[in-house]
Amino acid sequence: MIKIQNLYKEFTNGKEVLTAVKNLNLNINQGEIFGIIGLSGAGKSTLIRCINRLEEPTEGKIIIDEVDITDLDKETLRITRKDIGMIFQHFNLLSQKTVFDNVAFSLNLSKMDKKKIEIRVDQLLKYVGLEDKKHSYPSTLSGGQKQRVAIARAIANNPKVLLSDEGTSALDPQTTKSILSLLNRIRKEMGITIVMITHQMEVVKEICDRVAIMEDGEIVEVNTVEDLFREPKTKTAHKFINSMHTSVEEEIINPEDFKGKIARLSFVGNTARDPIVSQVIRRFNININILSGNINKLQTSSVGHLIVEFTGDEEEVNKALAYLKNQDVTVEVI
Amino acid sequence: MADLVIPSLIETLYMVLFSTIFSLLLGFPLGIILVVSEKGNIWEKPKLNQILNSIINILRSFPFLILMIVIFPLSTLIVGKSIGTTATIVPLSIAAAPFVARIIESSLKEVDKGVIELSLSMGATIPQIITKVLIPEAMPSIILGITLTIINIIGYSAMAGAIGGGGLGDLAIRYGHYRRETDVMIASVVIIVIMVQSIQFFGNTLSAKINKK
Ligand SMILES: Nc1ncnc2c1ncn2[C@@H]1O[C@H](COP(=O)(O)OP(=O)(O)OP(=O)(O)O)[C@@H](O)[C@H]1O
Ligand SMILES: [Mg+2]
Repeated sequence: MIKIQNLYKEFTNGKEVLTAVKNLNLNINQGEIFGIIGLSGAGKSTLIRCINRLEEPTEGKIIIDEVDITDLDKETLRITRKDIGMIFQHFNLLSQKTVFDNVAFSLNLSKMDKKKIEIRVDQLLKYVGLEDKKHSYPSTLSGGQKQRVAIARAIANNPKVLLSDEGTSALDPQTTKSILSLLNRIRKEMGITIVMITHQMEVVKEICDRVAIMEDGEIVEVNTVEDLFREPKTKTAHKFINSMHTSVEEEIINPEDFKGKIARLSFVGNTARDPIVSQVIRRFNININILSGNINKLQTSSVGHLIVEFTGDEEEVNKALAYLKNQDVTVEVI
Repeated sequence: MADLVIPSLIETLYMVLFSTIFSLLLGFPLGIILVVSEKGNIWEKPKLNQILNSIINILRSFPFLILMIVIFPLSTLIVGKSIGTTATIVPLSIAAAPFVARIIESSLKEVDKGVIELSLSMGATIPQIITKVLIPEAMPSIILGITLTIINIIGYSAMAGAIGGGGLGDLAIRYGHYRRETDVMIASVVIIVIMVQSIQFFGNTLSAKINKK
């Protein structure tokens, strides 16, 4: 569907030349959700902006659906862009227009009949779950709602490809999930090929079929998401997997479902190696039930997290918590 | 006194109204071109941009009184005479146009680059971006700019009175200054102050009312 061949993008700043994308080759299949992950400055945005030529490639070819994008004159490019939707980190909604007019934007540009626009926009708003916000202005919407409007606007023209440049980076984890599942639904029901730029491994894990890892303007690994997690080929991929935040358990564990006190214990450095939990159980007349745990290796040390339930006499539990704090354990009662 | 003040007030309103309209007709398109022709913008034309910038800077550095004297012959050409209210509209419009261009330029520059990129990514043409994105997004700020323009033109029109332009400025000078009829002078000044205040109030209210941001 999308073939990128020997793509180069250079930025010239006076005498300095910065190569943001270097000799990049990539094939993205029809109907696939393809992730591109990389650290800040890796060149992800530059790459995705080359795909619809918001950024002019210095060298190389980009072929979308058999059409060489890099070969098109301005006017043909303009028309071809209607087949490539795009969403952005900061939504880019028209602040002075209602939700309806924002979604209708591309249809208005194509001078579609007013009645047809009305029908199409209503249908789109229903699809993204915002029928009741039709006459609202963007400033009154939450981030997730804004991105839904932007998505409805991006797919209004039935594009073949949807580009997302950090489309979920400004959203909280839960909202991110709901946006991702909307994108997944769009892919399934409309067969749109989606290219997702992100620096969050969670996003890749959640919906991507395949992923490219980008570093210093180059792609260092292309893998299916499954294989990437099972056995990443490169160090960079390893780092991304290791850096994943595991804040997920907090969403699953609802303190109200438990009788005892739920706490999150964080161990840093040496305390991560001491048998502190068993010490506590021996010293105090309480029970500790481990609900979840993980350990993350950071650059300088390692951090372990445990989510545990304390049951037993209230006073005894409080003494145990005080003891833990004395042992340099960070205790956070949830 | 009313028979002195009211005709002069009508003259001032007439001058200000038409000068505002003509200066907008001249300055608004200039402001748009200044923005879109800038480097990195949607209709990059660096040479044109540079030339327009220089012309506007030169016009803006002229003191109004001098500009008026320079332009009076042009008034004769356009409206057939060089003194009186109608004749004054020509220099007023030309003096205010570069100001309008700058005001419009700065309003349009406030528009988020992101929405312009979005429009490009959706295949909008340059005229579409200007009329459907740039101007509507900048409208609250443009209204404040036009308010400021009108207030400036009121000030200029009072000055124009000094060299035979008619209106409240003319009245204040003829009666208040030369004939020492202080009450006429005070009345003219009070009316001008009320005009300025109400236009500012109206402009602020309108801008706030239409702003959905
Ligand atoms: N218009 C530009 N002019 C000059 N240099 C640029 C331009 N755009 C990007 N760059 C440079 O190109 C490199 C890649 O930038 P890019 O925005 O593509 O990174 P990114 O991977 O999207 O990062 P982030 O995750 O922070 O968005 C950076 O070094 C950046 O400074
Ligand atoms: Mg980026």
